[in-house]
Amino acid sequence: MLKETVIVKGKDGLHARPAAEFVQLCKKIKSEVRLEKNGTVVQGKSIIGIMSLGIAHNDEVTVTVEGEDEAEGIKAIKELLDKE
Amino acid sequence: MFSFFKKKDDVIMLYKPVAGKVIDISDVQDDMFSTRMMGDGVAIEPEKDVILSPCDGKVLLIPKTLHAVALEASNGAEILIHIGIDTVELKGEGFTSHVHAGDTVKRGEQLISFDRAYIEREGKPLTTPIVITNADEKEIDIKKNISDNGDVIMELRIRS
Repeated sequence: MLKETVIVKGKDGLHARPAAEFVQLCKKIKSEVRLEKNGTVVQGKSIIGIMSLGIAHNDEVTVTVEGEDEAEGIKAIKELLDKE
Repeated sequence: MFSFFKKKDDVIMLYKPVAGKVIDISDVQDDMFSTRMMGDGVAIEPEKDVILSPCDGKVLLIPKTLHAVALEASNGAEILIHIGIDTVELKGEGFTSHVHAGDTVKRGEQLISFDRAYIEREGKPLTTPIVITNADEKEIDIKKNISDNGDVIMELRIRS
C-alpha cells in the first residue's frame, strides 16, 4: 500500500471535468485507489464520491493506492493532481 | 403473477425532472457529457424553472455552486443532474437548492430552482444532462426514451 499527501494544483480543483479525468485515470489503474480530504475518504473510481469532497485549488488531499500496479498508479495520479 | 418473488428494486424508472425536449447525451454541446465521460444518459432542454426528483432516492451531493445534484436510487444507481452547460462558472448565482446532501427525497420533490433570465443573460445554455455515473460498476443497463412521448426518460435495470 502506498500513501501520499499532495496539493491539488488545478485552478478549478476537482469539480466535474477534472473529477471525470481523475476517475478515468483511476479506472485504468488495477489497484484500489482512495482519496481523502479532511478525514473523509472516498473511492477514486466514484465520480460522485470525488465530487462530494469539493476539492478546490491548493487543497491538500491524501492518495492511497493498494494493489499490483500501485507504484505506477500513484505516480500517474500525482502527475494529474500536480497539473495546473 | 409471480412478481411476489422478484426483487422489488430491480428496475428503476426515471421520470422527467423538468418538462422539455429530451435529447441523447451524445447530442449535448459539451464534450464532457457528449463523450459519456460522466456517464450515459439523456439531456433535457428545460421549459420550466424547477428540477424535480426523477425517482425516490437519497441526495448524495449538492455542490456549493448549486448547479447540479446527485441522487442514489434504491437499486444503487447514481444519477447526476447537471443544470446548464458551464454553469459552474456562475458560482451559485441564479440557483436555489431545496434539499441537502443526505436528505431522502420522493419522486417529484423539488430539488433545485434556477433563474432562467439570469443564466441566459450570462450566455449559458440551459441544456440539462441526466446521467448514470456508476452504470459500469453496478452493471446497470440503461434503456432511454428519447422522444416526446411519456414522462419516463430512462429505465435502469440491474443485469442479473
